[in-house]
Amino acid sequence: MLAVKELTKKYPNNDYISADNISFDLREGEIFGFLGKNGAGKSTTIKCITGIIPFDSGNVSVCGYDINKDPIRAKMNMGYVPDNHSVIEKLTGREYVNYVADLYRVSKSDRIERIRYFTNIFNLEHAIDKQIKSYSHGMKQKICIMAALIHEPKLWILDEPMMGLDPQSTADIINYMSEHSKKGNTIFFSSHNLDIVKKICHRVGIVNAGKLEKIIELENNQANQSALEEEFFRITGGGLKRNTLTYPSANTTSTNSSDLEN
Amino acid sequence: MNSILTILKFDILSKIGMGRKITKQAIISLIINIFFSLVIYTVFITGLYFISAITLSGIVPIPYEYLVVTTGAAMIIETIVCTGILVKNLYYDGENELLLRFPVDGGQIFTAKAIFAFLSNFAIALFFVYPIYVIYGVMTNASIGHYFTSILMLPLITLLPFSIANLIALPVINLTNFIKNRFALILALMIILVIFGFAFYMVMLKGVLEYAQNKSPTLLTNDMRNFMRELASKVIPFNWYANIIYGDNVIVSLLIVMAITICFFTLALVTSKKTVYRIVLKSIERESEAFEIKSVEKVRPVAISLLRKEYLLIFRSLNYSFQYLAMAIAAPLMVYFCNDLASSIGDTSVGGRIIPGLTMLVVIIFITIIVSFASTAISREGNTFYLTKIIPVPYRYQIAIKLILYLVVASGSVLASCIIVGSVFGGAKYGNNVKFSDMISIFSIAEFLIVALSCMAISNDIKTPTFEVGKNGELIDANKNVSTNIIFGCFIAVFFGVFTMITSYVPIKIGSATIINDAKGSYVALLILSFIIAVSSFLKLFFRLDKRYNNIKEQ
Repeated sequence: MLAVKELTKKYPNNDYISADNISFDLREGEIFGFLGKNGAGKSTTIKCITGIIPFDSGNVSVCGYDINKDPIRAKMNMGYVPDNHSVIEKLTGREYVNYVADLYRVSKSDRIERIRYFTNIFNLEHAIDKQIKSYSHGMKQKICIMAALIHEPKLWILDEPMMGLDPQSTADIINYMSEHSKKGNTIFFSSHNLDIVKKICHRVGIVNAGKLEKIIELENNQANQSALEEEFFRITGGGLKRNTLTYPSANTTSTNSSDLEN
Repeated sequence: MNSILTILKFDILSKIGMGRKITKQAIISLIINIFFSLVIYTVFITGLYFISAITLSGIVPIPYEYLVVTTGAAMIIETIVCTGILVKNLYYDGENELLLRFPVDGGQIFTAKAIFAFLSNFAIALFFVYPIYVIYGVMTNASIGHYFTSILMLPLITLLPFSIANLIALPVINLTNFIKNRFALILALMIILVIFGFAFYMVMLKGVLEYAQNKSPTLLTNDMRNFMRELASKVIPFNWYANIIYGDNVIVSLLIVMAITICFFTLALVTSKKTVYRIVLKSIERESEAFEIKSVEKVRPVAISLLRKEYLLIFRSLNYSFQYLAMAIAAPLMVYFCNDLASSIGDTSVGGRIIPGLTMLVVIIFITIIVSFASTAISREGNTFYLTKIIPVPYRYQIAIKLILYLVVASGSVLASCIIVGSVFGGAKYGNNVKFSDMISIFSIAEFLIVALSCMAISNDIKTPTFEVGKNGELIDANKNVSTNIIFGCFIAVFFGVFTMITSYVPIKIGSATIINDAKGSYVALLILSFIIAVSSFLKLFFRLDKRYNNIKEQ
């Protein structure tokens, strides 16, 4: 479904390689979690896969279509939800989703059915005809997801989709991810939430300093699920620091009204 | 008090752009801005001097009426400007939400922002009203005392408009909220405003130029003088202000002016203190309020859907509508006014054959202004630029759709300009100096130039886009591509216009062979030249476009 081979990307003004020789294959119906610290190279890898940024070497193919050689067919099979939830705010939710549906050539009956379905499960009935600029953070995220799924993509890519969402919305999205994968579609998403990843992913990849360090099987593997957190901190090195740092003492700062006034 | 000063300082610094990183580019940009501001200011003062000369040193001078009218006009303008500053800076400023999180109350925010509005108004009085009184003093040989009195009048002239602005800002906010999402109405109002403003400016300029040319004050006929006399005797409170400067009934007028000012200032203070906090909160709340459109699912072809989206993004933005749609719709009338002015002056000095060349010049300048919007074709995508990369539509196709929109809008505007100019200046009144063939030629050349300038503008933006957008998703500042394209367009306009004007009078020869004998000959040459520029710009835009577009990086 998604084949990434030796993907390498270095930004012109950076000293380090953001995606360093990354390779993996995703199967049909699989949910794959992409883990790593901030700045590890997750978003860069995702942007290379989706065609947002060019990469220096390697290959990316979506459903057998090379993203560089046959980008239109590759993109036709892909849906993407960015980490910043940017959508065209001057349009209404329905206008935006319809606009994206036009670009993916979705038939009228399909889009009516899907918009009704998503509006219902995401609880957006009251907001779908309002201008997006009035939406909350979570509502924008949901519209992004609706637009990404309006053409029923075989590969659904999400960059930190749960960030800033309320528990109800998070649960809605997790449920839909499972449902989408059960239809034989593949989901590739980056996240910082190890609990969610453990709960829904079949496999996870841990990336550190631009390198894909390890791919771990989670489906039907209780031992790997239990060891995921430990493994994550072992690879990324973040867990050790937590216990060695001390928080500044409360009495080292003082505040009084004259300070505020100045 | 410290909080008020901190907010005021922050406001002033952010408005004049200080506190940002000082780069070499920023310094050059500042110097260029100061230079152009000085040039514009000098032109303004010179124009003011000539207008003043008509009333103050003409055949029948009317100095008192001059003072009443100029003071009145200045105070009305100050009221409008101050209302705008208050509405924008006090009630609709995005930083209010930020400020209210800190330990400052609504009264402190109001006081700081009101002082800022007052200072802005005082600056207008100092730089624009005081020169009027200085010109008056110079032309009427006034004593030195006049110049001091004039300075002392400035706070008084500023305070009344400031107080009235505080009172009318409240209904203006309600009106703004009412028309906020009525985009067609806003666009219509903007077009009317642009046309009236431009027409007023051109009529004044024509009067000044005619006066400067032959001292014939067509702008100030006897009827006009009588009207001004009658007006001056009736328009209170402006005549009381004028009395103080004119030296007539000074004490009584000063007492009346001070009493009025104190009354309005107190009323404004009491009203604002009671309402400002509530309105600021309401404005924050309404800022994110949006309209609702019940649309239905409708399948559109990809090209139509892309075009529609481009159009809606422009139509639903106050800034973009004004910069692009209002200018494109108002341009034909502005072309007419410019042509009217230039042809009446050119006709008396060098003859009517200059009109086609002038039309060419003016039409191309307006094309340049309209098409400059294409210089931000990519940058305007802002935070949603990624969408253009992930959708299954080839980049060249997306760019072609943008190009089509710019071509259609600019072509419509040029066609309307040519029809208006052709029908007005082709008549006997203007000596039949503009023929149908002239208009067809100018239109054809303009069409090629629209293609050329649009392609160049988009190419530049693909090369160096700036995705700096504000909270509303709109570009914060026009990028340097806009100025580059305007400079290039103006150069083309001058070259094409002057070339046509010259060849209307002087044949161009190489050796003994005449290459271009009249305007028709120049049209052929310019058609060929504009065609070459259009084709090369088009090829430059689309050559390896996918690769160049693919390399654009979000910032």
